[in-house]
Amino acid sequence: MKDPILNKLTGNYLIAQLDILSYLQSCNIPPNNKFSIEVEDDMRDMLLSAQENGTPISDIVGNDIKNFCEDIVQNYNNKRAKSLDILRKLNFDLCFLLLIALLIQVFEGSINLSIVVTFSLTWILYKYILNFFYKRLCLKFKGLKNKIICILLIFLGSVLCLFPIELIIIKYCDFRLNGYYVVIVCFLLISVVLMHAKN
Amino acid sequence: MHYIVIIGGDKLENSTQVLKGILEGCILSIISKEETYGYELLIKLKNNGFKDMVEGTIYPLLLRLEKKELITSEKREEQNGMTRKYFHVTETGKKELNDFKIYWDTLYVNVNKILKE
Repeated sequence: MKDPILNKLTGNYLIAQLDILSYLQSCNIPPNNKFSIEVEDDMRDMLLSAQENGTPISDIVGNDIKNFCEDIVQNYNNKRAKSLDILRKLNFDLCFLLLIALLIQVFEGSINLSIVVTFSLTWILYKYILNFFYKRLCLKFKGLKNKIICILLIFLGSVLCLFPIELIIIKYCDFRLNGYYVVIVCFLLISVVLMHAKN
Repeated sequence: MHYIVIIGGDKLENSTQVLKGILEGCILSIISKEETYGYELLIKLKNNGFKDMVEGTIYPLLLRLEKKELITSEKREEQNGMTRKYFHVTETGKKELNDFKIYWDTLYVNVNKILKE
């Protein structure tokens, strides 16, 4: 019989599990990735067994959880998987841009170049900055609540830093574009990415 | 076991490649005798004197051995509803274990020879 209460990690064991998963995400390993799911299941089993038997967490993850996470990440050096993850993310971004361009074109008749440039540049920069700092800070912010605070703080910091750049782009890229051209370019880029991913 | 004292001395960090190599050999040996899961493996190593040396090393080593196709795993659902991964040694793993045994016997003899001089 399944007993969901007995199958739950608590206290420091749960914090350790969250730390490991957060670190994997900060290393650009998506949470829905096969490797990530496998690590999550394995760690849950090991930490739960340790919790039930009163085994110290340090026996499982060592005294430095960062080293432990790094050792795990080293086993994810599959170049093919890494490039596929990047391509998948790029495709998602392009689809999002395509949708925005299409909506603006339909309702306003054209799209401003500044929107396209601001979206593309800041979207990439935000993600890069967020990952860069989150990798260094996520293990210092323990627990889910503190990790969300950590993400919010980094996001706010990024907004403050990137806001002047966005203002400059909005000021100097004030050209009207046909939104359908943007959609076509996005489609072409998505096709290229998909073809590259298949190869 | 003399080698634990030699390898795990105060001046050598536990994370040395030598120790990882030895642990890999021991893990292969344990799994070759009977299928094992991660936590059980940790307990077996601790009970065999690797108490302080296994901290935080077992799981990354298991991933590494699996990646090198020296071990393979099978997921099974336990009575409590949890899915647990059981490890088996592959043919390549058995060959690697034999190589490790030869390497260890030679190392053990050579180190002892020098220490007793």
